[in-house]
Amino acid sequence: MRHRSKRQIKDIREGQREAWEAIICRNYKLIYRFLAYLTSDTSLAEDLTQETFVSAWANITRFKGRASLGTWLHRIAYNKFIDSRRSLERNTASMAGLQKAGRDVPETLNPLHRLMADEHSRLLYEAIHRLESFEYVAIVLHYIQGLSFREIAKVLDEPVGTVKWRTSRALKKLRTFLTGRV
Amino acid sequence: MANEPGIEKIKDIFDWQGITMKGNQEQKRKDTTLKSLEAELRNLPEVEVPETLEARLLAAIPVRGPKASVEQRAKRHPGLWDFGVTTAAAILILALMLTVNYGLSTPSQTLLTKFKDTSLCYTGWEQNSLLYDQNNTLIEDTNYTNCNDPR
Repeated sequence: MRHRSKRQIKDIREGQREAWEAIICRNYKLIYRFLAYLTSDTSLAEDLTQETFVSAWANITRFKGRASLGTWLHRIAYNKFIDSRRSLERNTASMAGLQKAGRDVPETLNPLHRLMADEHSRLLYEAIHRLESFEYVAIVLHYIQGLSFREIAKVLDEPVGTVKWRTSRALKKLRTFLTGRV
Repeated sequence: MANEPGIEKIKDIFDWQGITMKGNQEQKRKDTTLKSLEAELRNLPEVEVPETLEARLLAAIPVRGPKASVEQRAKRHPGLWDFGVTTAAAILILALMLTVNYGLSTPSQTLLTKFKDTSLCYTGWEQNSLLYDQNNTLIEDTNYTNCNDPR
């Protein structure tokens, strides 16, 4: 798997478009879902997914292979999200952040509306949204995206210990939120 | 009967065991809740991905290839790269050699190298041009004294 990935990277660096298309097909759903959780907005998540892959294509020569390609793409996507949030905050000073703004997005535009269908999932989703932004991202990356703590540390550029501690704290907070509600 | 110390003791033990068991159960319940919570998070319904997204992403691939890194550019023109590196190294070595052989030295260094005799020597500009002997006793106030002079 890793060998195939290395070969694909080599092909992309040589400018082979087909190799990059294969990478997109394998990873775009994962990246879109991650961005959907971060933005809670279908069109913004789509735009950021596109920006992520365009940026990755342009900078593939910088990819050294120390992390997996998926981790690297998550990192680019996260940085794109942060950039978009900053520009939005600049434009709309009163807005606290995209994550909170996502609640005001119409149901049809919210990519997570499927979660709302089930009562239990909706409660869980709402509880996740009450977490602090770093905890929220850590929970999404670990439990929903399936990344290891080491990979999350690379995505967020934080020490592994910090990521583990914050994830554990976030989980305990979630339990408190949920048991307090039920 | 109820006041008998033996029975009280047994009661205490039962109470204590009851509390401990309750505590263990509580802890176990909490752990189970955390584990079940983790499982619930993992089993959240997947977010729907727009059908048009894949086509959109494939269409958005820039016509221009990825930006080449310095190493890659070097690999594309190995001859030019080697020539550049060799020339830069040669210039650097030449500059170093010139500096070592003909470079400017400080005034005190120049004077000290001229006087081989160490009984009297010039101490440098920083001590107001005074002449000292080996015991560091002031001999005369001068701007210049030849240490090799027999006087």
